Amino acid sequence: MSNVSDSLLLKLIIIGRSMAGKSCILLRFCDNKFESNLGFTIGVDFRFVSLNKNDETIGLQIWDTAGQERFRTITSSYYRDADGVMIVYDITDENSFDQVDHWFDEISKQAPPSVVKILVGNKTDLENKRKISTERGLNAANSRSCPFIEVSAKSGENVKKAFEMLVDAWTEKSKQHITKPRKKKARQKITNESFEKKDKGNCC
Amino acid sequence: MDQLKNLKNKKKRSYKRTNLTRTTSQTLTEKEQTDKEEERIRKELEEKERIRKELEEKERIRKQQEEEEERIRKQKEEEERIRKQQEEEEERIRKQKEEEERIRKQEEEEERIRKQKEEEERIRKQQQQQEEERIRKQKEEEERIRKQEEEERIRKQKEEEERIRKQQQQKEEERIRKQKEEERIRKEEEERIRKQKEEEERIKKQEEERIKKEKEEEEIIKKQQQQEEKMQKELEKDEHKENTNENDTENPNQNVEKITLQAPPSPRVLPPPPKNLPPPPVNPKLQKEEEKIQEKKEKVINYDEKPHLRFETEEEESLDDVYIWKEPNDSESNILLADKSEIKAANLNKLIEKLTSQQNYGVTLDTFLMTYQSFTTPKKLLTKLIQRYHVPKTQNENEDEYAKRKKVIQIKVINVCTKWIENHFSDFTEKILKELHEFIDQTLAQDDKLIAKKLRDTVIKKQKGIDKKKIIHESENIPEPKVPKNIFNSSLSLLDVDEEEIARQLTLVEFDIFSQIKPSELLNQAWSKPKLRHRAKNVLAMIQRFNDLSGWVSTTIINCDKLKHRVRVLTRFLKILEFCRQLNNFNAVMALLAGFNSSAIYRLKFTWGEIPRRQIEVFDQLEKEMSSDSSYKGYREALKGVNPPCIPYLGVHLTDLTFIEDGNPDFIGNLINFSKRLQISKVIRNIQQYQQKGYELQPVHQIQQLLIKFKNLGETETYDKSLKIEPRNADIEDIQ
Repeated sequence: MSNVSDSLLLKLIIIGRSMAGKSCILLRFCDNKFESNLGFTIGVDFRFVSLNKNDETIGLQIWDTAGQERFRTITSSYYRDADGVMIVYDITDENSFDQVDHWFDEISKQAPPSVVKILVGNKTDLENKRKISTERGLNAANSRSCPFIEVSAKSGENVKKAFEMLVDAWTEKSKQHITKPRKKKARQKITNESFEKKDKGNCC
Repeated sequence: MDQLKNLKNKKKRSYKRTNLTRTTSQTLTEKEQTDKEEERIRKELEEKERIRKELEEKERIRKQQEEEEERIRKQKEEEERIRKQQEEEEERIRKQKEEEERIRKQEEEEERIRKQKEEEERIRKQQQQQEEERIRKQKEEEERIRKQEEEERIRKQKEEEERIRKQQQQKEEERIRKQKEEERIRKEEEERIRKQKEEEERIKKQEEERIKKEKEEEEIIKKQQQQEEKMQKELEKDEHKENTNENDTENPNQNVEKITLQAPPSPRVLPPPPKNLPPPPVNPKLQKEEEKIQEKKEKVINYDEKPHLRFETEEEESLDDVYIWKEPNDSESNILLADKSEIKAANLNKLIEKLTSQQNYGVTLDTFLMTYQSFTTPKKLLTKLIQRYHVPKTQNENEDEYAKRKKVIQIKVINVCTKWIENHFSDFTEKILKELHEFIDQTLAQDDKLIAKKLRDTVIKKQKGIDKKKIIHESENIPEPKVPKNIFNSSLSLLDVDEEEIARQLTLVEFDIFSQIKPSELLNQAWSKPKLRHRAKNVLAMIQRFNDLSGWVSTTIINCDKLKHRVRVLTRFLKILEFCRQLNNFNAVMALLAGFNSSAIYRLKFTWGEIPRRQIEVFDQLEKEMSSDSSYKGYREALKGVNPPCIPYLGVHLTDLTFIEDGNPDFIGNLINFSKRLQISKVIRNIQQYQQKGYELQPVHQIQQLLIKFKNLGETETYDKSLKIEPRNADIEDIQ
């Protein structure tokens, strides 16, 4: 697997209810400038971050549609080619946690079966306003057998770790499916993953 | 017959032979023989005769047969003839029937056409009626609005009059009060003077009394002590001196002056009226003018003394709020500059100060007006601007310099007000408008009637100008709408309408919402926050429209049970997609793509498989253009190159705003982070520029109605149906 990592580029997407802090997590992770006192410019370019993992550099291309939650744009095309999905909820907002199930369903419908997931509870800095206990978050993640972590985009706590965990989960999964092709494939025909699977005579 | 002849000949010959043989010995035998022969011949002849007869019989029979055949043939011929005749008859009848049928059909057709015409006529009439009804209603509505406006105007006028009346009344009361006060003071004064006079009188009397007494005494003394004259004379001189001194100090005039000067220091008190004169019979107008001038003078004075109390009502008076003219000079505590001419952050006073000062600080008015609602309210802004208008004089400038400086600042303030009204009129609630009018009428009109009128006209123009946009639609190059024949039929369905026309009407409906989005809707992520959502009405309507549209695509496709039908509908939608792109309606393009990419539709392998190649190519190309790759690079470039009119896909811009909002603090210390607002205004301006130019297309009410009310299925329902019509792992044979 080592040679795969040399040019490893993963596409990660972040989803969750509006105001759950998705963009803040991304900003914190990419720029590490959250709540800086200096007015700095946030561009609108897509986020690209390199992560060092056991002397390997993994490129992370992170996609975020923060602000567009109310649009039904998060469709197959958004999930297509995704390697990992980060589902974010706000530990002080019951509604955002209620939506977690919906997101898991969406992923199973739209994303390729190879995708890895992580459940992230944000805003641990607001401990006194917490509505969702760590245990509840953990249970939700366990029932979908995916990793779980609580972070604070404001303080930066665990933000990097969350992304590392997602990458780990992906590495783990790809080891199990050795023949998995890692090249980004252009969509040849209008077929979804289940058909692709069938057409190609079941590659995985 | 020949045979018979032969036979007779043979017989004759035999007779000869018989005769020849009779001469021979054996004559008897011969005779017998001959007999026998004859017998034989006879028999033979008989036989022959029989055969002949037989033959004849046969011949007869044959003839008979032939005759029979002939007869049959003739009969057949006859039959044939009859048949033909019948056939002809039938043909004739058939033709006749056909003719009848044709005539009947023709009649039916005529009847149908007549009915259709009637129907059309009816529909037309209905339509006309509806139209008339609509126009009537519209007129009524207009009338109502006009009346309402009229009433509103009258009400306002009345209010205004009432207000002015009250004001006048107040002023009058104030004047009367003052007058009374003056009267009182005057009376008091008079009283005092009277008392003083009395006192004087009393003193005089006392004095006189005293003098009299003294004189009496003197008299007595004179009388009693005439002898001591020398001593008495000296004494008399001293006494006289003392008396004059006392009179000096009690000069009544001087005394009154002093008291007047020491009157309680009230800035509103008029100078005391000339003493001992009754108040002059004043011309009320003149009096008012005077008062106003007086008030104005006082205002200026007041500002120096009691700055922040002047304009602020109790409700908005906050402790940390500093009167704009009390704001200290530039320092790090109130302003941060990115460079010489660009503000990075500042407090509200400084922002307004720079906005209305001679030097240009690159605080573009545009940016400020677009974003100020993210850090203050329209009410506060107006208050601050009015404060700023009242320029106080500084100690180290002369009158000329002051007048000049004042003028510049005041013009700048009016400029801000004008731009504000012109470009963001929706910020002005009734309450704020009232305040603005107060300022115009009471302050501005005093200084410059022309400017006041101009500003007032700007407001009026805005109030009236709401309907202006609609008139622009009456342009000449509007393409003829592609309306189907059954447009007035209640059974009109979108399947009847041309794809291009659907795209056009969709675009008109969407532009209508898009053009109404206000800058304040895009501030503070209002569309995402439950508490601010009321502010983002049109943004939310736009999102709703987007979702309805994509739901419409998936529902319509999924509702087709037959593969053939699905293919046709999907192809139609792909054509609509193409037309939407031609109209630069990125919002609809994205919404339709979202519909095609929804899990329920995307998985319909067999349906997609039958779509014409060209349509698939268009789809692929647009999907590439609108893809979220590199933060919607394709879309951003397409948008840049677009020739308006255009409807942007709002989502991308909302994401940009979200990143700017979340990535940058609102305040730097306690200063407003203005560079953040600058960035936000860039995004807003980018959206706004496309709101200016509308589509030159003819709206078709009937089609728009179909495009407004979608009956969409839920997402789960759609997906379930999708699994039903094309089950997982199904073969093409299984699919209908």
